[in-house]
Amino acid sequence: MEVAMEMKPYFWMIDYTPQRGWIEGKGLWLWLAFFFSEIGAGLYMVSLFLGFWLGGAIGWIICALLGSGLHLIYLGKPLRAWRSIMRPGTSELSRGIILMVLFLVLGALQLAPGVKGFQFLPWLGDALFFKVVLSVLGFFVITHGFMTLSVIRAVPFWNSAAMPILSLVSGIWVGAQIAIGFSSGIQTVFEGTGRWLIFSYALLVLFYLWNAGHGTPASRKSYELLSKGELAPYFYIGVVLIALLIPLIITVYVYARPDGATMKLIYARVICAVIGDLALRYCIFKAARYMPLINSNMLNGL
Amino acid sequence: MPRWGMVINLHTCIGCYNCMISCKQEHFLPPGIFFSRVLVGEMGTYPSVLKLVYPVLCNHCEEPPCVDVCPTGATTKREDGIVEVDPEVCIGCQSCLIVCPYQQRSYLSGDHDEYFTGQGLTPYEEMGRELYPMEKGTVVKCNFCAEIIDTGLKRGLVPGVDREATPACVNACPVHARHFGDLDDPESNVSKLIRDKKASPLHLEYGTKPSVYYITTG
Repeated sequence: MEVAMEMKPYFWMIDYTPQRGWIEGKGLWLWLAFFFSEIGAGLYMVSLFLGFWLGGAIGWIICALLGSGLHLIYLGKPLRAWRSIMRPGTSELSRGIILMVLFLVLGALQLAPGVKGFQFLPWLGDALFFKVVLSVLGFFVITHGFMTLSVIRAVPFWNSAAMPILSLVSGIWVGAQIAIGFSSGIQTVFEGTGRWLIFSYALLVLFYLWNAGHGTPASRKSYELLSKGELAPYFYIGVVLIALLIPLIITVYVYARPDGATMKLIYARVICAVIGDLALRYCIFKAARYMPLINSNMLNGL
Repeated sequence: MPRWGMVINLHTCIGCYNCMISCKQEHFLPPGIFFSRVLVGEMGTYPSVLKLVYPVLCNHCEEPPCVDVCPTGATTKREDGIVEVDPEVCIGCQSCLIVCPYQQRSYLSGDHDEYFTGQGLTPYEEMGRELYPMEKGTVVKCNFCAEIIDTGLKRGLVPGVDREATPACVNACPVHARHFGDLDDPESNVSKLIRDKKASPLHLEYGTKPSVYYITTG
């Protein structure tokens, strides 16, 4: 029996089934929650390394209000959210939430001495303890979303070791770009870091997709959906053009002609980085496919 | 301790949907929610057409990925292998729903709670809510009719042998395509069927070790 034959009307049995729970309806909140957690923590980390406290505060607010807030809105029972810290031993989601709570609490403590009315606190925000611990926590918060996806074996497109690395680089890249947006005075410091990040980001996206295109049939199906299927417009416009090409061209131009770099150009890159990363995440969530429920081995006996 | 499992003979199944309806009735399931489903389809074109009938339900895996990913511990595996969701602990994150390679879980959004929209619950539905308190915003799934098994065992009955201790879908099957029993007992009906008929579960490659087997050979 040839499985390649067209199956109707229940495609669910022998065709690849889309993942819907985390990208359609209420699932859109989770897509945004993961995105804001990542870029918030990315902005915080970049700001921490460069002593840019305003950026750190904005990153913390993005992470707390948008990242955590949207996580709560997404849940079916948000008042029970505290229970999600109960299974760190086996659940990636549980570990991520614990680390995010720690990040937010310690981040608030680090930023507090810089806030008017809290200068009396007996510690300094740039103490080595805070810098080290929050860097580690920031790393985990940035990768939390894609790490949660990467352990799901049922969705081969997500089940890739490249996911957390891609997430880390994109988080820091977008974080650095947002920091530039808020700090026109020190953009040159971020520029050098950003140059490396955009190239790493582009290479990682290519590596991830190449990996998916050479993986299991389900991950190849996801790759095809992005490269020539229904998601191709989102992928080519959102990811290839806005996330990668435009920022790359601007970065190279700024490097080649530092005098010609205007703030308008820099702001255009910031906007592209944010929209592009959002598009990348949308594509990754939306292209996820399950294997057909009934496989060829089952059909052979019939 | 037994490990409950099911064997479904696809050569015997006639696709009558009785298992699906009896499950819905047993658990008073709201509109759109099915713990047990019958997938019917056809392949090929005339004159070479193959009709496929696949009854599917939660596989109550021995290595259930849904239990590991649950951040609250709402999804648990009992000693007898039945995987359950505690509606009072579930936070509705849908992690379990996403990781299930068999896609056998449903999210109870509560958007379409009544069978007669806008007219409130019927007395039958109200009774169902009392017996099976399903909470809006949580994930629900087949529990192998654990309440029937537990009650039956207390009465000294044998699940899979005595109807009063056997899941509703198995009892309802008019052609005995479904068989239920202890997978750990080599002399149980299910173990013999798996051995003799070379029954196999869905997607062994995920390493979940499902407890629902299908007989595909005649």
